[in-house]
Amino acid sequence: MIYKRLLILTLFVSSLLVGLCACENTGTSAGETTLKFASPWEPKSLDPIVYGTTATLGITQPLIGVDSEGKLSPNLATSWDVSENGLTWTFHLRDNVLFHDGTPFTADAAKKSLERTFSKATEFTSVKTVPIESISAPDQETLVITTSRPFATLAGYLSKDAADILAESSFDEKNEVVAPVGTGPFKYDSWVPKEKMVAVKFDDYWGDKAKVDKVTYLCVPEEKTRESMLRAGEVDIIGTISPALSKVLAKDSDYAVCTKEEMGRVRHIMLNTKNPFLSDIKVRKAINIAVDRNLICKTILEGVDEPAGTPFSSDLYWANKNLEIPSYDPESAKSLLDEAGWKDTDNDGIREKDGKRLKFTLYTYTSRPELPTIAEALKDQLGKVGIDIEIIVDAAVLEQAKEGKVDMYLVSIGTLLNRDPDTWASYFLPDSAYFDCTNYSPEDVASLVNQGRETMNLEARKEIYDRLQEKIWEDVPVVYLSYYTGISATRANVHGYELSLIGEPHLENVYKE
Amino acid sequence: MWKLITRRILAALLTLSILSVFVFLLLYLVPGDPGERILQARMNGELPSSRDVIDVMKHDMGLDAPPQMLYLNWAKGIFHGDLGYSYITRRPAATILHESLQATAELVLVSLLMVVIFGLSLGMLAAWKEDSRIDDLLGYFAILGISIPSYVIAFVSILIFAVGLKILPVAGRNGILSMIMPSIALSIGGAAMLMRMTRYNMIEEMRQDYVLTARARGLSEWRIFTGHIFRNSLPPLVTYIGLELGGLFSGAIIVENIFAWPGIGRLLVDSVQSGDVPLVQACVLAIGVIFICTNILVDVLYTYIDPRIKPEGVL
Repeated sequence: MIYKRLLILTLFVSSLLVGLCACENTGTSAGETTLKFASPWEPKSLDPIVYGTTATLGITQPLIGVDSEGKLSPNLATSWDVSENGLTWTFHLRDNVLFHDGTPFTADAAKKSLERTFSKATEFTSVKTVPIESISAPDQETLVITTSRPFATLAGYLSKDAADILAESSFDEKNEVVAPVGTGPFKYDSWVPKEKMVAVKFDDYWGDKAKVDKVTYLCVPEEKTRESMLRAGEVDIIGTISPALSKVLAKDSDYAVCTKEEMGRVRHIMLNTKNPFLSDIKVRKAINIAVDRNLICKTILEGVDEPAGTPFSSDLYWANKNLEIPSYDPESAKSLLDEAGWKDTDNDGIREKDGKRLKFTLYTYTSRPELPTIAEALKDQLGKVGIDIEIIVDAAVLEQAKEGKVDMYLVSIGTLLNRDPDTWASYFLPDSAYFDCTNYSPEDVASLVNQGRETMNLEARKEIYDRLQEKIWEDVPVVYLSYYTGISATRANVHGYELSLIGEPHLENVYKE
Repeated sequence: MWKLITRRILAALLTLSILSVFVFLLLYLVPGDPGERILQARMNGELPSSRDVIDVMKHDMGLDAPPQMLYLNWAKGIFHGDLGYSYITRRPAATILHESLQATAELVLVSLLMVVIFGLSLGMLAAWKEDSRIDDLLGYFAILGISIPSYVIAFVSILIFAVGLKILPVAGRNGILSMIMPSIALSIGGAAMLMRMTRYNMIEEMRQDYVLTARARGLSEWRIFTGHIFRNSLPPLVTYIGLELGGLFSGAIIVENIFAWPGIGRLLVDSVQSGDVPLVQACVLAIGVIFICTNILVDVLYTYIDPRIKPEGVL
């Protein structure tokens, strides 16, 4: 009796399962080349405002691109200019561009798409600060944007994924993206949330046409699994791998490894200049040369990331190339501290002055897993010159900073997130979210930041940010430690694959043998 | 029976409401201001350059209301199948949860089936052939199965069957073939454990007096073995299987990450890492509900398998 029932139950459950599994079975027709790309990042959304997978796959494109130096370059707009008063931006749009649905790319289409981008400001957080007054299309090749105050970073914002231009047929009646119809070399095909996004070659693309027929973007969170997929030949390219794995794969002729710096991402320590000890520039300078950047890069960061002395690496246009990376010099650091009056009187290895120990709290967080390890190394290195460090790992630093508890904050920040050095410079204004961590905004610095926001000429801006970098380099409110390098690997038969500064791999240039 | 079920469901509702309060409090237990956290979640752990964006964000998301109001709204939403929206993707948490649960259900049910089939049958075999060579061999396998962690089994099987022999896909959710390795990795430990328990319980039962009586009545050994011994040793095994369902869900967290299986385990890991609190709440609530339902089911099955167990006794 009971067996019969168990049997029925078993049969029921198994038939249910077969039903569940028997769905997908996609085949590839002969002669079609598919490029498979595995990345740890989920394809979170079809909407470039929410997440940039459509940009990664080359489905959607913005008006403005970013070149290999991190400078803005033409994309759907071939050029742009700003009026004398800095309030009116005119974008000259590329001719003969078709959306994937066959409709022409016009100024009207760009206007509608950008209006949506800016109206969804709450969801596209960083756009909140953009003072857009109006967007208009005087003719089909020209788009005019006016702002209520001079806003030099507008072009940078327009190069972000969130400002990618979508055709009207992308949206449902609620203005949500149902299928992204863009202008890129690949056309959207399908999306399975958390799993994959597929795009196919767009034959009427305005630029160099794609060399493969199909690209599949797969989300594979575990690195070891991505490696296995590459080895088993299930994918052609794997993104975001560790230095350790890259060394293993580089030795094998079946695979090729490519590296590229991530645009303007830098690990650094913010020093609270309001702290009575750190307000002494000699102490800050001593810290700056007491940290051994090369050792940290070679050991903890496994020799891939480069040491940093400024917010922008020397490959980038915005870098002030005259500024050198402070060299590791514990002896000079010691004499600087001596000069500042800090002496180790009780021979416990830590310096004192007026009965107070030279001790700081160093906050950091775990979502970037190497940071706590770097904090340990810093504690050791600063300990050697007589500075005591208490490491506190806490994700909620800002509240503590408001209360003045944070002396040092080890953090990783994208200094060109909005594709403009203002992203970095704005941290030195009092309304910045990070301000409480440095409390550093002397008048000349603040005025440079504001000048940078209002100056439209590229060379003039570059000069302003050069001066700002120099000022920060001299005053040391921040100790820059190291830049980031992205590593990917491909199978040896994959050619033309290059990492880009902003994480868009230009898969249209890639082909397989 | 119905009385039992109603009483259990009422108790479950109470447990659920307590659980919901705890799940809701997750929002406040995570360090930092909610507005700050949403922004960090959306900007990959970073903060906007301007501070007022944080307050605007909090206001837009309705998070500046007092906690008790937020809780009532959230709890009301649950009854309408509304679990809020993901901070990052703005998709409804209920939709995301549904997608993930479906993927996990496939995996967990197949694994549970494997645990039950292999655990019970091999356990019975070991008991039937007590102290034989087969019993020894199965015993070794069981110890291996229990002691090797699932991720080792997962990676070793990937190396052998996917990278080496190329007969199974490495990862992904693509039909039945892609399910074989993840479900084996997930179920081996539980199956081995159940096998040992089955063997032990059945051997215990074999020593009982009623077996002697049955033999005296002239019943066949097989009849005694399956009809009496097995049936009498079932209750603790059913409890274990019920618990194992929970174990499979927690095991899924590791296995889903390795095999890029888009289930609730991965959802939980991802949303904890990115600070997407509504999704964490949805996951924890769903896992809680599953545990509670499994417990009810196990209790009901008890009275079904062993009518001597009175419904009252269970409560």
